[in-house]
Amino acid sequence: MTPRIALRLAARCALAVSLLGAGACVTSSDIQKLQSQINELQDQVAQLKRTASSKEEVQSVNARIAEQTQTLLKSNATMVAKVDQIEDRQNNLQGSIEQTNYRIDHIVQQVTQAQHDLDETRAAVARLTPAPPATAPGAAAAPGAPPPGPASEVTVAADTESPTVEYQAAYRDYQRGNYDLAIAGFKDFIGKYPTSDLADNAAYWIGECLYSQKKYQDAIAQFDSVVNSYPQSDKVPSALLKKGYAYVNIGEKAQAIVQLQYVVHEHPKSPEATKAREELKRLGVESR
Amino acid sequence: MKKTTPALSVLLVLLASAAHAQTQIQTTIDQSKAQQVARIAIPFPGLPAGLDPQKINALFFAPLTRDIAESGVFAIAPLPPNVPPTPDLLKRISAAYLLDLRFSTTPAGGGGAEIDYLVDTRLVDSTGAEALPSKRYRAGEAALTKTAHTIASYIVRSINGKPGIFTTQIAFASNRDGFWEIYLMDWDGGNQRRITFHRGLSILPSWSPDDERMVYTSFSRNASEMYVINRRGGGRIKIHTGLALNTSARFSPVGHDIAFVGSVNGNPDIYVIRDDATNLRRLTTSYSIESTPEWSPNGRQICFTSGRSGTPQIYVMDAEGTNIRRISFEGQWNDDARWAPDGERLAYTSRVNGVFQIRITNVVTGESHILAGEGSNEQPSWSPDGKWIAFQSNRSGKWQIYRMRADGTDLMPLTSQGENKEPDWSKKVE
Repeated sequence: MTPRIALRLAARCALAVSLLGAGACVTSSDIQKLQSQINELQDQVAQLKRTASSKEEVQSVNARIAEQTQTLLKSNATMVAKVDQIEDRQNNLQGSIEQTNYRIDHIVQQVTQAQHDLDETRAAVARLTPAPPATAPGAAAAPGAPPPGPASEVTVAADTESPTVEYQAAYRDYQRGNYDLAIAGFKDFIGKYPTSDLADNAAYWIGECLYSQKKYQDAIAQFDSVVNSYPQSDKVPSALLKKGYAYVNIGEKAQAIVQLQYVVHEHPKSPEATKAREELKRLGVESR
Repeated sequence: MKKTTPALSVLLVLLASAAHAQTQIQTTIDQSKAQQVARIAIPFPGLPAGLDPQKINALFFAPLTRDIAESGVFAIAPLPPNVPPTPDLLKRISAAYLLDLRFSTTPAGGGGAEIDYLVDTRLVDSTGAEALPSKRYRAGEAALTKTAHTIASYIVRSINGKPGIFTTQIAFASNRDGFWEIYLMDWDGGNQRRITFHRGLSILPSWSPDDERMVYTSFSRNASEMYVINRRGGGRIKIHTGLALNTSARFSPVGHDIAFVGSVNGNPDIYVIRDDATNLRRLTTSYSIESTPEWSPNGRQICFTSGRSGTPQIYVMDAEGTNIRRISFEGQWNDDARWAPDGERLAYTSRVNGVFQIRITNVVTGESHILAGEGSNEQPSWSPDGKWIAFQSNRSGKWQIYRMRADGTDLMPLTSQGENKEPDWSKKVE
């Protein structure tokens, strides 16, 4: 379009000049008029030239933008790939952690078992070894004192069940839906082995059994006990969340909201917090 | 500790697990042998004139004797042909029981030429005394095989005291008619019939706990949809979840919930919805892919496959999605976990030496072993008494469904037409 206008302008100028030269009877006002027209045309040509150059600029800007977009897209793709890589690495790390925890659990179980066996052996040895006389050394044993019982009477404690086996028996009852038996079993376990690595699990399972039986008030008390007795346990976020759900189930909405917000506040990055946020949304409460 | 190269340690683990698997199988076989198995003689039933013995054998006698032979309660005592089973003969073949069957016929009613069969069943002990009250069964030709399974169940349950599974059904997906559709069959592979007609891709059936309904996935226009039908294939309803992916649906063994794989923004997670399409809940929230959920028999836990550790592994969570813990630690690929009715064992597909095998893991003790077989063996499903496993295998070059005991013995192919996958055993024992 632009070149055509320029050509037309040039043609008009040429015509004006030829008229100027050919015509003898031309007034000065005519010349002035022509002069001003030529000036005007020159301005227009200059303006057109300017427009043309700004269009070129736009084109070059566009090209630069396209180039930059490409670069950005490329770097974005690299970023996505890197994020994927990081996610993969994180997953693999998670896998290694799970494997390691699994091995540690096994070792802990073996150590607990060995400790248990050792305690029993010690107890048996203690029963077999006659107690030293209570009187001063050298003093003769009181005549008529009963002789130490025959060895055959000393028996190893009848209760030879290992902690792991006891825990598994209670867990088996839970899996089979025998919740009362499972609760009794887990309570026994905690009573006997309060410092065992499985004690927090047992306490959590009691809560879960009560929850399964829809005894929500009791479950709430039990989940509290998990949190209070085993604050370092990995079951704490789950126990807190389950407590919130229990409140939802008995219709205590206000308590439920407080409890769920507590989960979000205390363990903001845990999967339990995500679930607590979803539950809060269902209850009509937005959370951070 | 001395360093072992990874390849060597993998080999050691595999050797150890193979040895472990072998011991397991050995022990189980010994136990089953030690079990008291009563010998039972079952002469071919007396037939009135006009009845075709071949037909009665195929529709009735063969399935009945097969059930009883596989019951684990009885062993069939072979009878010499055409000799009446007198107490003397029973003694000679050491049979503790005699199952006496007699056929007669009666018009089926309705005025047609159709007949009903009457089957008189009598179980006596070796002295000739009645071991069970006699019973008469009536059935048309179409229901004769079902009657055989019912009689077998009655006898085994009465003698053993435990319910049998001979009248249970297995749902599965098959492409034998050109499209992948849902089919049903008896526990011994008999009576195979189609129950869906989407003319598309219908897969992954799952029974409801009362065996009256099934939920499955159907793909139409590249979208996966969840349908529920009754056991005859009627009453189809679509469960609208509002999610992009609706697959691997499993009925809860208690209540009305369905667990399934759904997705928002392309990331598959485990969801639960009621069977009336209300109360949708998301159970998993991780960024990784979660799939193939399955309820524990008490309905309080769900196992599923997750890629959160870099490879697909089996995890278990409480039914609310809390308390997630990993179950599978052996093998780089574990999927399709199904819970045994005892709540203790999980069967799942596990990659071993590059092929998929069925692995059994005890969730209580953590013990685990492989039930090795030819080809790839996948998608296990437990019988409702926990004694059998149905699964799919490509050992014949095509995917077919097989059945084996939970210790890997007594393998039997159940399907042969087209390709057949994803068995789901019905849930109720009698």
